[in-house]
Amino acid sequence: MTKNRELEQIIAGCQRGESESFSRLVDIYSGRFYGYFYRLTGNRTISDDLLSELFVKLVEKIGSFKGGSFDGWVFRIASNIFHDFLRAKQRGKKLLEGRKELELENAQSGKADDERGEKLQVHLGKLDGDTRELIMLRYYSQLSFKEIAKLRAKPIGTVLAKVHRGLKKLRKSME
Amino acid sequence: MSKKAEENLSELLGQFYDGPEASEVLEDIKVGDAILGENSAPVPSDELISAIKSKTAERLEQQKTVPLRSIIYHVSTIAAAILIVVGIGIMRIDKAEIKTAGIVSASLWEGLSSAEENDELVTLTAEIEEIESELVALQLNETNGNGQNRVIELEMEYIEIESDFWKG
Repeated sequence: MTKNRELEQIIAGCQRGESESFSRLVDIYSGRFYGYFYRLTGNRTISDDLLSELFVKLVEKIGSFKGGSFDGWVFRIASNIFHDFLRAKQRGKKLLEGRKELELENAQSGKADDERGEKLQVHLGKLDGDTRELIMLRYYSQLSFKEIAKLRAKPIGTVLAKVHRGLKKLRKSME
Repeated sequence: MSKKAEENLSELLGQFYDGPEASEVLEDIKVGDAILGENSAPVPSDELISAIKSKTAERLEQQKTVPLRSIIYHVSTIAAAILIVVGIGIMRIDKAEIKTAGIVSASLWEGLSSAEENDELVTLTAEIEEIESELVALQLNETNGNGQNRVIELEMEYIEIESDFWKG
């Protein structure tokens, strides 16, 4: 059975409310989403909470998935959850300031499990929030530039330029 | 294969950059992707995965009970609406019966022909008027003789006519 066919069956099972199918969905996606949230927040506790929130949200919303790219659909939800987290954290402040605050936290954030991994996290923290999010979205969702542009409602040229500049900056700072 | 892997990046970059620049951008992106690949993010703990699975299972159970509650709620709402409609219907039927009782009583009156009714009414009215005039005359002492007995007699006659009138 192909991976796509298998995923379709799991999604159908989830839509029927089968606990076992959700369990399999958690096994397939938890690593990618955890990485996505961790790279955006630099905090394991927050990533734990956001990942839990995502799967609970999936239980509520899976019925509204009408086909197409499941990864695109589910990463849109994950992205919204992250933005909700930023808004809650901000409590009325502007989103941009919230991102700056988060970037500072990322840069200062504690000791990572592995030194090189932490180095990447520190350098990611130096990128602006929007660029970092686009890079992480592309890396973890495995979506094309076209799909990311659609998901974030941005022109594809803007997405391309931001991801390129961000990755170039990351490459230089990591050298 | 992912959408990202399917994407022809060279072709896409060619739409936004010139030849040499496009190649440079492509190289930057590939190296950047490689750096991300080499530095994997932490993975969720087994405890977290178990907790999430428990939470999703619990939420699924809650969702299953919600439709049942919803069905009970709707059924009871419909039952209440039916009871109200039936109650209102019964009240209207009672009122209709009361009206019918009135109509039956009236029909008895209507059973008399209007000619008979008019004759009796004319006779009775004439008798009452005669008695009334006699009473007035007595009160004014216009008659002589046994006045007191005559008054009693007239009153008796008056009562008799009055009760005959209401009996129909």
